[in-house]
Amino acid sequence: MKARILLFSVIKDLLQREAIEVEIPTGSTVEGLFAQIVHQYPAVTPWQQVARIAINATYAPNQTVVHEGDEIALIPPVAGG
Amino acid sequence: MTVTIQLVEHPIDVAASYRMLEDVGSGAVVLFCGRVRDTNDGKAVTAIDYTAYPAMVTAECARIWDEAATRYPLHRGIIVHRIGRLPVGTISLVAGVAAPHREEAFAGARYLIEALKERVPIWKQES
Repeated sequence: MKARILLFSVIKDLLQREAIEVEIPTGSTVEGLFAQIVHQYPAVTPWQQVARIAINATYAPNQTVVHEGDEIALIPPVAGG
Repeated sequence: MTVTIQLVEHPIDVAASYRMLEDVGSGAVVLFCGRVRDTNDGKAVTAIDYTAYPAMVTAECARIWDEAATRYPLHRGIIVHRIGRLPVGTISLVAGVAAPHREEAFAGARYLIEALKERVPIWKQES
């Protein structure tokens, strides 16, 4: 299934895009999704340890299953306040 | 327990934020204002560009409020963050609570601010 990932801040600037799409097997977890993102977009590799995936506006642990239609976001380290 | 959560692109009205915390059962109000400072890591700053993931800002702030209000007897809360290009001296964040006594008011406000800085999807770029 196709997964569309919203990009923000430094990663958005790095890839010069507001969103990317990757193909993942049905039943993939967040961990698998991230691995596919890095595989398709190697420039994201340095961010793999510090960026987080959010699904439907909630941080998602690695074992969370990704479903069709989920709103997925790649969240670099935040800096509000 | 009532909370106001806003992500804005206009100047934050501190007096209006305080009024959102009015409650006759609360003897203590703690209202924090975060401002753009003129230095960061030893470098001069003239402005900060704030960006955000709006849907998740609201959702995560709501979760943070629920956690704070579970830990402390808070009656009212407010979190207002401004995004866009903010010059030095501009208020970027107002966060506060109203509670019966000062102990929980200070602790609750601190909880909101620390959790926001750690979790809420807002980013900044100094220039």
